[in-house]
Amino acid sequence: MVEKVNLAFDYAVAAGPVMLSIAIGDGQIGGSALSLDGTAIGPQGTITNLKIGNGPALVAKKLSAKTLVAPVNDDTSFTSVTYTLTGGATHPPFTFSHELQNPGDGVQYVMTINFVAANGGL
Amino acid sequence: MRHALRLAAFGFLAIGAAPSPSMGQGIGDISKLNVADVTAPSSPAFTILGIAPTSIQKPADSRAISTSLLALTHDKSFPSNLAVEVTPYWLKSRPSLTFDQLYRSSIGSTFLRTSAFSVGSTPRLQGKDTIGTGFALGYRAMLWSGRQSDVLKGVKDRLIAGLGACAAASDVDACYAKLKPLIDSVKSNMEPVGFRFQLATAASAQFPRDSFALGHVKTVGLWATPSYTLEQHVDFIAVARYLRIRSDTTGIAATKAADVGLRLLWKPTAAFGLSAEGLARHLDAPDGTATWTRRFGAVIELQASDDWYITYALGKDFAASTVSRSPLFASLGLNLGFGNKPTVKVQ
Repeated sequence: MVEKVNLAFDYAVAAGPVMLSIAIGDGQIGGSALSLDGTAIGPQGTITNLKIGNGPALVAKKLSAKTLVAPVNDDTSFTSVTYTLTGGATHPPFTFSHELQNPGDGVQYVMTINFVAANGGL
Repeated sequence: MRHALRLAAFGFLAIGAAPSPSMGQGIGDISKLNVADVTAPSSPAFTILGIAPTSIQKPADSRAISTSLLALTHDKSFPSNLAVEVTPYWLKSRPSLTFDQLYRSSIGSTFLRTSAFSVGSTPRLQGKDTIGTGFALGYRAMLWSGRQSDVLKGVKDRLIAGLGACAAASDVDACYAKLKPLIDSVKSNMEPVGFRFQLATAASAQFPRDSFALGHVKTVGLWATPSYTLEQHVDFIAVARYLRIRSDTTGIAATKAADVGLRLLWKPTAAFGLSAEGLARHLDAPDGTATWTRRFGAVIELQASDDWYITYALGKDFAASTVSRSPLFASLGLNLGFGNKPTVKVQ
């Protein structure tokens, strides 16, 4: 079974390119797949400094980042995913955690990132 | 926090009757001791009490453990059936710790991540009568945790790719189920290779008639276990252990034992193992005599099936061995089991 975690946040872009990294925490293993407005982008698996697009071109688009985590670390039942976006107005990491309800289950984080213009326009 | 906090309520039929051979209530009973017995224990408090929990509860959160502890201590001077081990690091989520960092952390990070505290208590028995309580505190930590094996790196990369593909699949559950063999392969290959170093310490106290006034420290132990594992399933394990055990029959006099040893183990498959080892012990007895003894030998282990094990051991025993004519020992062992692997039942 796979437990589902649905998340969403807005990201204010700037003039430069937007890059995304996804890190799996708690000593677990995970892989991700991305789509931008329904079109698959990037590799499947590890996402490190992947260019999503230039800021102005991303406004009003939705990035779907689906990350499936396998709990291989028996020291903990926590899983966590950190999304790091750079190139926007600000770029703090976004971290989300989920504690497994049933040992052995996988966890799918479905993240929707809405790109918005910084301060209402670029 | 599946394993961060472990509570074992052991049934204790065998606690007084079946002490760990490594602790051996009688420290003179060392002829059967081997290197594996004196390596740093996984739960020092339980080991120094000479007990082995038969069941481990895995509470969902720390409140569960608190409740369990309260239940055990209610209306009693001492909780007498208790074994708890806590790894504080894992009591909360650690988003910044990646899988690779499990193997590539600094000494300080490894120390923090693996620090575990254990507490145990057991009825103090004399014959079939309970005459008090034994209580122990333990601590262990790893300083070097080794690195990922080449096999692990390979299956890990395949799993990451598979999880990425499944993340985009329309039926994630079905896709994830197909990854189960790969996940199991990763978990079964997580044992590190390279250099590892573990420290452990523990102390036990006894409280005759459950009286604080009569309480005294019974045993103090310190373990250090450096080891090196090759990709080719060869282990070099060195051990050093110090034990100070107060005698029950000679007042506060204590026996002190220092063990050092080395083991070379080759286990190319789960079914076959070949090892050679040597162990030396310095013993200071309560009467003031000091002796050095040593034991070395080689062991071949063969698992013929799930239930059949054949072992052959050859070597030289400690001076304390009951073999009087010749200190050389040789034994051929055949173990046969039916059904599940033997376990101690809680009563």
